[in-house]
Amino acid sequence: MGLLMASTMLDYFYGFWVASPERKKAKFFLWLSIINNLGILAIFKYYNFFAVQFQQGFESIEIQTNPLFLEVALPVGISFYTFHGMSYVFDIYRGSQKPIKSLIDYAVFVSFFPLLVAGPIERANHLLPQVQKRRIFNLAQAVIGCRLILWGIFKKIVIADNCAYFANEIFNNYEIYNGSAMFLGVLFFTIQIYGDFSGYSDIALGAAKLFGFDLLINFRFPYFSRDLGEFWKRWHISLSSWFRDYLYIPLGGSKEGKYKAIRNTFIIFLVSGFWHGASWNFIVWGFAHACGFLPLLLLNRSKQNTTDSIAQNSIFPSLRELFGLISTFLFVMFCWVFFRAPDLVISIDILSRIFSSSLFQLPNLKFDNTEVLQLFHLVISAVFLIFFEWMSRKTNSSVAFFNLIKLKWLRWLIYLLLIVFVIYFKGTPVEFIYFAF
Amino acid sequence: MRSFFKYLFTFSLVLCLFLWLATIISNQIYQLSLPKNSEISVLVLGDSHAQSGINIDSKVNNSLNLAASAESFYFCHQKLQYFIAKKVKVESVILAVGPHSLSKSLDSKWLFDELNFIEKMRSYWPLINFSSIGEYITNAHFSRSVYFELIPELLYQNFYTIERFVLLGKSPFIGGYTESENNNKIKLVPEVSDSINKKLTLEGAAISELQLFYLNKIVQLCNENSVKLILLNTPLFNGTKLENLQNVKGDYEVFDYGDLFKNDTRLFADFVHLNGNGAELFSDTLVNKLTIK
Repeated sequence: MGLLMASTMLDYFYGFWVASPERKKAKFFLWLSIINNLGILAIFKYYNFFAVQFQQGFESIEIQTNPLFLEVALPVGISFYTFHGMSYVFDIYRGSQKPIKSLIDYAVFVSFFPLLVAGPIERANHLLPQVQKRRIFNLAQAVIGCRLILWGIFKKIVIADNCAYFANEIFNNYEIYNGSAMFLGVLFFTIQIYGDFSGYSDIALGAAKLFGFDLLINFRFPYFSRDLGEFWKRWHISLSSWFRDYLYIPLGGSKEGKYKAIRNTFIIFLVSGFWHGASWNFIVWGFAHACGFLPLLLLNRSKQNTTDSIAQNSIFPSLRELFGLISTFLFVMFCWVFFRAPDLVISIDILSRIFSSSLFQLPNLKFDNTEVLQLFHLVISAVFLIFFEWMSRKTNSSVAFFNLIKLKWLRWLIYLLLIVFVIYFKGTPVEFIYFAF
Repeated sequence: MRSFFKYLFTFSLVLCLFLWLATIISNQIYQLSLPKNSEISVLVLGDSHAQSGINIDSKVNNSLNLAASAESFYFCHQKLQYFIAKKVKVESVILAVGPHSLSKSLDSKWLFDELNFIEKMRSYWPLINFSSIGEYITNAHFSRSVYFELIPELLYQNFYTIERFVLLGKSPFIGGYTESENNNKIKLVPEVSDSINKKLTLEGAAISELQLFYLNKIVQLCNENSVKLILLNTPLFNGTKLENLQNVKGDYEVFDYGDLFKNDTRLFADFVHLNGNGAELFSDTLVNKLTIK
């Protein structure tokens, strides 16, 4: 709490200093703000990681060191509110935002409860005007808010928590499972992380709507992407657009030649990976995505699928689109191994198990009756999820399918069904994955 | 704002009606699984010792085994009370009371574990007298939040009961003979058995006041309704006999078979539970004794 207050106060004052007409002074305070925010992250989130690297580096040349390790819990939401603060100061420096006079309004922007712990990462020029203006209750918005909350709860409690049960079992005992079982384990995690994080975002967006706020959309059906470029336009949008606007473009983006475009792409993917956690796994995860993105960049196809959605004018995708969807999904899925496994050695071991002849054997998973029932419920729920999200794919809202249902009683029946799913198909409670970041 | 709350209220009402309907259907499924006759000759209650050791449903007319694993006397009392309240004539009750049953060493798992309590409540809710829950929660020192945890669990159970019945044709499990799952998994060695027994029995721990409280309630309920009560110690591998029943007040008989199959490895699934063969042999012995009586 103290850290959040201190960070809020500092960025609030930096806002005034950075707004100075003297560019030299403004630049100085901009850098001070960056050092300040990244310093907080470096100490509380990354310090121990660097200390370990320092120790291991010296050990490799046979010099024993005894660095100081911090024994502090990672402050909740640190990665999110520091980025809120930085975006505010950046926007003022660039002239797209004026420093705000009310400290309370600014504090609401930084610590608005739905987005404090796991995003979406808001922009000052998007949320602050909403904080400052008088909000009037809007029935249509409140109804959408309730739908988003219900849909988000369904995604988290039914889809993510059930998938977590199987994914945890398989990842925690990966030594005993064959390639096909591990493949299923990774598939479970792939669905888990989507249900978990997009579920949280839906709940946050829904809760904010009840208070009259429109937050940035964080997910737009990312697993329906036809290539990796499209995937990153649809997955954790608030983070990827943050890095695009405040890192990629200031570094030159793709406008200064191929070499710089490749360099900048690798930088944002590596930084994005490292943002998730102080571990080599996240860095490798980012690197793998950068490598996957590279062919699209070299062939100038990184934006080919960003203006429309899959099966834009039909119900089913074309064969070409289907191939793109499956290959993108598999690539993203295998990259999640680095995200989920505890370290790099295990990640590589898991991948080598998957890419072995045992991938074509039957999975050596053994389920008792309760687990079979749980799996049955998960499959029903997943079909429900995929069907309704497919129906909404052309829109920006994960609950747009409700608008397609004109009959009120049918909409209510679906609400009831979702509530029954939440009561009856609920998985063992697992904490939101992104709370750890 | 007003129309939003109206909308929310109407939907909540529809939701409550829907959940109430599910509760009624689930309750009916429970009723279907309970005996229809107005008379039960022998009702077997107790924990896993009776559950895996007494198989008399097919041997004695109108007998019913409702024993279940890790069952405290509170739930035994509730099951018995249910039949009495429904005006079912129960002739005799066999209640499994082992040397461990009154030991405080099992309290944390059987009585004071909120999860175990919620699990049992969920499985037996149509049999439970809801006015007794408050007393139990106070006696077990549970937090009041347990009520809030119970509600979703009971709702869950309704859908579980309906799904099992519709898809698999199975009735809800409220107890009954089940062969022990531990069969042949544990090497039966007398020395190990003694040390386990020491831990569980009264030698190793004080008397559980709450178990004793509900045991006395069972005795009282039987005495008030002229039900013959038999406290039964099922055979144990190390042959421990039942002791320390002096605090159990009222009329009851004691059948102590603790040493019936002492050290007979062929008849035990583990140190304290009979296997299928042991249950068959013991049930015959029990039926003989009941018939002679």
